[in-house]
Amino acid sequence: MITFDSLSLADASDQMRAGGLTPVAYLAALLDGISRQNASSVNAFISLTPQGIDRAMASAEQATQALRRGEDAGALHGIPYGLKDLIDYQGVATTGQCQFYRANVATRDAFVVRRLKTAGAVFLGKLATDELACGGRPEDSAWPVPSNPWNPAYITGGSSSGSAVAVAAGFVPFALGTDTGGSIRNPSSRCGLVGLKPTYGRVSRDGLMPLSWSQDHIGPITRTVRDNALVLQCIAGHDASDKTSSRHPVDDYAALIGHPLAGMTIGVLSEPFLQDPDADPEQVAGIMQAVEVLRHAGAKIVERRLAGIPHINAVARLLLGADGFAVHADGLRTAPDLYGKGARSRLLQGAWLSMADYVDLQRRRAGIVESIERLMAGIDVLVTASGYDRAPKVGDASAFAKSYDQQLRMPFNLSGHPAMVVPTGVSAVTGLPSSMQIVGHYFDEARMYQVAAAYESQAPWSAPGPRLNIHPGDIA
Amino acid sequence: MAKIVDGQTHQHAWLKNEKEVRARANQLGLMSVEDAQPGILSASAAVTYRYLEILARPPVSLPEPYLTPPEQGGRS
Repeated sequence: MITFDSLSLADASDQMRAGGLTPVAYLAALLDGISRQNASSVNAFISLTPQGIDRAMASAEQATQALRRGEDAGALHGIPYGLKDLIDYQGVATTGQCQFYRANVATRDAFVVRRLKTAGAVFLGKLATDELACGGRPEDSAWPVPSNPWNPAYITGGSSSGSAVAVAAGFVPFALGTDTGGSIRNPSSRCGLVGLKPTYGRVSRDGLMPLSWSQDHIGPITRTVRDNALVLQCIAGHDASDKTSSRHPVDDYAALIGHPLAGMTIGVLSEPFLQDPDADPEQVAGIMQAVEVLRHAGAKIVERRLAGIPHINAVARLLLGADGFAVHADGLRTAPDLYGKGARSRLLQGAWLSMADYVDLQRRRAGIVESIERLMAGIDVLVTASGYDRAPKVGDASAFAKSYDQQLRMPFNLSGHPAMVVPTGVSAVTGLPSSMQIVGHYFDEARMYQVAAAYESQAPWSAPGPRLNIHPGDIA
Repeated sequence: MAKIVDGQTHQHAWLKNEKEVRARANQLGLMSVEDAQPGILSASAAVTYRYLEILARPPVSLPEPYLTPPEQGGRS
């Protein structure tokens, strides 16, 4: 019997081409699963409305008819997905889960949505986000907060929380998130998923509500490495409407999956978590075990070090604050009540920087980019932690605050290097997945997928997937 | 206690009290924020200056900063 909520995107796509599954039947099965699992209990979707379901069914019907006519738009044809509510879908409000934008109905599709429509993918609904992607404690949110399907006592991580929860729960096989300071990688890590922040400029941000112009990235969240590569293949490419969009050629991102790692050199940045007595031992063990798997697969392993990580994270946070305040200053001045407490507090951090500070930060940033380029020299990819904290429980403010210092995600927002997370096991203590982070050279996502897939295929652990707390009930 | 930056001299000076935070917020046109959520300006300023403090902390074992960034693939 096929379990649709754990079927990979690639397998669903193959079954559609083999005639064993239609887009309509697949969507109907996912909707049935969503209903049975009581999607409202995990708060992943914010706009799974009857109208939205009708729209999705109409798209699935079109995709089904097209396949019957022999019109195949590719791997995503007929595949349902969700969008973090910062990305425009024409006719649907893009709110960022902020009251200030509650009536901000998109008049056109984002670039990535146009690509997904052309590919025949089926939009199901908007997904929850930390308000305006600011991150922050779940308790500060003015909205229902997504629950981690692996264990609702622990946070999902943000800010692409709804995207990660929807994929982990099996509501959709893929979702798009955004990553300004780790917001794809953090929730993907905590929900046992593959999440990619592509190279800066690889995926157009046209139609994205910004948080930080110089650090925002759009990327895919999936349950498998191959699925991730298939989604990136669809959304990558130059877009003249985003001035930071690159003309660098788009690779075949799945081309190296399955190729051996022999001859490859993998750098390991382990010093930050090996020297931190408060690092979560299960996270650390998962990464070091993954390194051994990669060594066994034929890769040469070398140590790498990165100096000044607290400084790097400080520069990233301050620049993010400056950019975020620049985006939202007018709204904060005119209608502060329409911003939640957490978002307001975070966006205001940029108000206190002087022009001199900003120039100094930009100068430091250039030096940091050079540091990270040196870190990457002589290796094909870098393996390190995404975070090395133990997942905070919901409501544990001190553990939450500490988690910001026990992460290695922000350096690569600052530098623009591509970075992805892959699950490395499941904690016996929390029941949540652990993860490693793989960092690549600019535009070398195909190599990252090769390494990630090699690990995924030989990982010495397995988990049945999250178990939702099922309460029979209706969904909105 | 929050700290604030003098943009002319780039010298950091501690904001001594809530009154100074409010004065700076007034310059920035942000008092409506404070009215909506008292104390939030000081809280946000404290975070910003905690990060600036980290940057001021020796040793800064990073390369000397450049005025013009080196070529970064994908950036225009």
